[in-house]
Amino acid sequence: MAYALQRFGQMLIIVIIALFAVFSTQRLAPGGPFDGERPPPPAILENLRAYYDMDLSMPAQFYAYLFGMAGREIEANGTAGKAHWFVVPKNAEITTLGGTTDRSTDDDLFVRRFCPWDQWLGQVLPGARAQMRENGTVFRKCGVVRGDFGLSMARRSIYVNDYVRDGLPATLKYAIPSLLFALLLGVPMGFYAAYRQNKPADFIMITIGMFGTVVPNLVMAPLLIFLFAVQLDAFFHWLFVETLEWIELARRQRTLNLIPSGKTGGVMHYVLPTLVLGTGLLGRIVRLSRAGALEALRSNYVRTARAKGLPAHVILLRHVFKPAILPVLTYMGPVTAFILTGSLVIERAFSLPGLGRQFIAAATDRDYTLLMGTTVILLLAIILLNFIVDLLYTWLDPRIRRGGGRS
Amino acid sequence: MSLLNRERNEEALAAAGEVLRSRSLTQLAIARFLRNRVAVGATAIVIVMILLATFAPIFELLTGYEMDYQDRNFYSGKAPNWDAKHYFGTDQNGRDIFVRTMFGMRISMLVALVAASVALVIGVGYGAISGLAGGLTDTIMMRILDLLISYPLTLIAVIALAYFGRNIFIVFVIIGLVEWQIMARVIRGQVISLRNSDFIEAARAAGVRPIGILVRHIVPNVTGVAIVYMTLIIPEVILVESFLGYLGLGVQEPNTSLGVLISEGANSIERKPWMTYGPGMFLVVLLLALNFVGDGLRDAFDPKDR
Amino acid sequence: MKSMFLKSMLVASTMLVAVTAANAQSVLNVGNGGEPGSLDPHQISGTWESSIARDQFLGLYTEAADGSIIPGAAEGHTVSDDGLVYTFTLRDHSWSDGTPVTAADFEFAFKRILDPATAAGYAYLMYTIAGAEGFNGGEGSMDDVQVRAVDDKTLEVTLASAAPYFISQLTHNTAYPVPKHMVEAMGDEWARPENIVVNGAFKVSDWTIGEKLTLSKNPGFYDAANVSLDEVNLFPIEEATAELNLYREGALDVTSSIPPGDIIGELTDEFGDELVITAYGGTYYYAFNATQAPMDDPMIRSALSMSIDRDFLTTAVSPGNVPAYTFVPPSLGGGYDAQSADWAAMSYEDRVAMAKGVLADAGYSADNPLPVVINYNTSEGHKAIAIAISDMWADIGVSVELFNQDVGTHYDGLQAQDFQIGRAGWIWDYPDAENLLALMGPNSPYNYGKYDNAEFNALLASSYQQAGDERLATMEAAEKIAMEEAALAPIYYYNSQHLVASYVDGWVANGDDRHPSRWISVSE
Repeated sequence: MAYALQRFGQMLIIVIIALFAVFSTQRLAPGGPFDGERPPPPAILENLRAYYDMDLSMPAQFYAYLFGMAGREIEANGTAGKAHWFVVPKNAEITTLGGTTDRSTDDDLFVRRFCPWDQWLGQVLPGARAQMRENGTVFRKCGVVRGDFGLSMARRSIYVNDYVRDGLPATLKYAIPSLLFALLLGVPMGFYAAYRQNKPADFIMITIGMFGTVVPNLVMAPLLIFLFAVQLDAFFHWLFVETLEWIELARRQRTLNLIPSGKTGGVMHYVLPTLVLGTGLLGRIVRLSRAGALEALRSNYVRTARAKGLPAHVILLRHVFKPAILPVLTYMGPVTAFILTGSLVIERAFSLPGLGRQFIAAATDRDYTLLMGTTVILLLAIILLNFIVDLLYTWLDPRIRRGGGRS
Repeated sequence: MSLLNRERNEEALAAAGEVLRSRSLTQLAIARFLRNRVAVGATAIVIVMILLATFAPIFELLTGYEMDYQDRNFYSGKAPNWDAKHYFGTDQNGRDIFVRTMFGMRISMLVALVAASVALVIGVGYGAISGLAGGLTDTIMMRILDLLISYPLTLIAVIALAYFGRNIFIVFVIIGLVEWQIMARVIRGQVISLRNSDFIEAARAAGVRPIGILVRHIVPNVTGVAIVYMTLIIPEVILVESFLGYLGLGVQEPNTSLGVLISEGANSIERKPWMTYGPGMFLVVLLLALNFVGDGLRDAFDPKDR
Repeated sequence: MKSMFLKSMLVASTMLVAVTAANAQSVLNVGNGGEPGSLDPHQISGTWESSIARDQFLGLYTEAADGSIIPGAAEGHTVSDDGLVYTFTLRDHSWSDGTPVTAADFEFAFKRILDPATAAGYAYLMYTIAGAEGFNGGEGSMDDVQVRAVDDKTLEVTLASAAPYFISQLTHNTAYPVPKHMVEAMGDEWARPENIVVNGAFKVSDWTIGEKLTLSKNPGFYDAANVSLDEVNLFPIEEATAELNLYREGALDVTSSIPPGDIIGELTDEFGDELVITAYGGTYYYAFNATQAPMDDPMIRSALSMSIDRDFLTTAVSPGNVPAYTFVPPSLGGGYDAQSADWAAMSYEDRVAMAKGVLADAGYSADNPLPVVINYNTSEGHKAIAIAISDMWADIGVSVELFNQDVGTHYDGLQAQDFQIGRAGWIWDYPDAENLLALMGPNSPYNYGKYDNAEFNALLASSYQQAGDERLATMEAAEKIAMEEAALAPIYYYNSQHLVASYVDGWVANGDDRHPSRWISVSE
């Protein structure tokens, strides 16, 4: 546990360094978020830059990004208008979960929204409002630490939090199934291949593993679209609609599109994306679990068990599983990275909504806040998964607890 | 991307380094490699593909289509036509996809070579410094490396390319920057074992300064491992390059790469699948062959895994 | 058994259709082409955003189904004799929260979009109003803007100069009202989907970024009785191929575009009348940077422009568009006769020969080619055109280097004259030749190449003081000069390309490509 926490802390530091690197590079790089086909006149540009605090020094901007920024213009520009003021409740009573903005208009000028995390914790009672004005802090930005990723720069009325709220589930919709697909299929395949080493079954598994590893997503995606969404679908159409007449097309339907080539819709729209990402992972997991199982099978206790004539599934489950799953587990960190880079390809190839798509759009649109927001989420996903892996690892392999570990 | 390969090869290479220093063992390894028919076959394929890429201009002469020649009779992506010598069909602008695939492979290989060299320089430098310095510096440098390996630096490459334009030189360097970490770790292992060897002790006793030791004794002795390792990151680099090309962050027209060609084809896969067949097939075969060569090297230098 | 299983899979795969059928509401599913950046009519710029604003807000004037201008929030207006003072009488109607829409809302809205603090990118469209340009530019004050709510139902607007196109400008989203009481209470938060208050036929009811935005009928709309649709689902799909697949699947009733390439023949075979291609008010062109040699030479520019084979481009490279030889699209109408250079009447072969001659005179040939760089923003379509043009120019002794960048950096470079030849396009903001010709004049920030011709500038300036046929003639003369000098090279006129299902009624093709949902109905 201590080891896992230590690594978690180290990764957090790296995350902050990485964030600062992205933060400063994007601001130093040519181009800016307000360029475009019809960029605004200088007077407006100046306002925009001030609005996003881009007139401050770089460290000050980064500090404001992380820890928020007090309402620097409240006195000077106290009227309604541009600012999205946030209130951080201090001594206010906290009641129910949920609730969105404060709709009250009674001289409560600055209470526009609560900082996201404060809002999740609970909404302030109406009676506590006066007290909050006294004791609460008014922020223009709450900062990442309070769960606020700021406003998008390319789409100036959308909070980056909105993108994450809608984009993350969209990505997980195919990422989690493909991970499950790869694990639930890949680990048994790898174990079985190891058990039947150098037999035809082994060869088939290795070939599948190799195929999954070397055929990149960007080739697999068009390939599967062509095979399934075009050819197989045409065959299904011919078979079920025209020949057997089992299926009648709905009134507005022109094609069967049983296995669509993506874009959100029904469950079937996620079949091909899941397959593409899943086969890439599957190959790697087959190879890893096969290698792990081979090593475990060579151990003396497995030999004894085999000599005793125990059935294969008993040996594999009882004696091989725990030691052999370790390399697979170690790989779960890189798996996150694989899924994340894969999501860029998948979401493009299948026109899916999701964070990978937003990430690319943010990079090419110079949408600084959106790019930072998506980067934070991606990095957090990685350190969270690494943390879980570390926990599982210490549980499975007591040697690790002494620290030092894997290098 | 394919982190598995890295980890798989890492230990093997540490062993390979030991082996490389002894000539007879090296010869043994080569003999073992030559006995591996799959690896030899893969090597032959890789060599053929390198030749194809190197002499890509020959195909301009053979087919009569220059890389950027626009055949107005075959505009907007026509199917393969052997009579017209468009073996893989044509692209949106009537350019011959076969010739472009050869040129694309050329760029992909060039990127692979240069980026792998960048990775080599950084990896050797970082690993050697860390290994030589030892102590706290070593611990910190290795811990940083440990953490960097867990991050998808490819994503950083996406950001960097989006921000700093599509200059091919920048593509080289950025991909190189993504792929150096495992190299650094392997080299460090080598350096540490070298550091304690007799001739380094002797040099140190003779008063040679650390820089001198690094340049004169350490670097020549890790070159073998480094070059073997470089062959292993080449498929990784090709993959990253095609990934970036696919996302539209590749080379400038009229140059092309396998990733860019696949991306162009993928846009119309449902109507014009042949636009993807050629470049896709070459990319997969190339990666497959390079992987078999890598596996063969591992097996040859690390017999205990067999 | 098998068929049952397959049927259930089918239902799963087309859940959208199933849902619409189940609750028997009248729903339209539209491919919208992009994700809106805002619901605030003052903070948007894309066509995919203004289509949403058009359904949610009612300007003083609005569009009928065929795009013609009809009274909206105003019942009518009067104009002073000098054409400067417009007095509008407002219709009795309310915001969706029940508050009446008053002239004060319009005054507030017009001043808000011009306020530099609002930082509205499209505010310049309101510069027609006296005092607007100064205020927006940071020099004048809000009180200088000549918009005045005389009483609750009367709005008075004074223009900077007579502008016959002012009424058509009022249909644009920059001239939509915003609810003063909401904006004052909530700041920019008013346009959040959970807060927004509208005066149009529809109001946003659900928005999942990347997936869809749902507009529901606004029962408080003054003409709600004649609005047929209950819901409009807008899908932010950028890839035309994905739209086409969903259209075939029945999940979309209207698409925002069709896939690029030589697909029009196939789509016509497959969909017949459902494929709707209409002239759309704008021109795709290449800008020449006239601030540096050799593009400062009108002869070189003309040679480059005339050697572009536009017929080939619009048949093989970018089918479905119309070859352009004038900057103002002829589909503009209104009596304006778009002017092309004289060489436009020549055959392509003669033009190439002529261009070769011009370049040879300047000392360039196949052996000593003129090196040029074409900048374009990253896109398959722009790339294909640039590649094709570089091939055409190679024939006349020009060697082309291509350079692509993302859209922001690309236009940044154009504005800074950091280019030689740059791709650009312009869709008119209001149907008047002035909107396009100004792009070659001295005051427009979008005169990328800084084309500067004294005669052209004088004609353009005098057109602002004229009216009627005289004004049109002056503008025609100006365009003639610019085209003869190849201030820029028009390539094609945009067409709007949609698939519209046969059961969608009230969707009428029009030159502005505006299709308010209030006129649309779905027959079952």
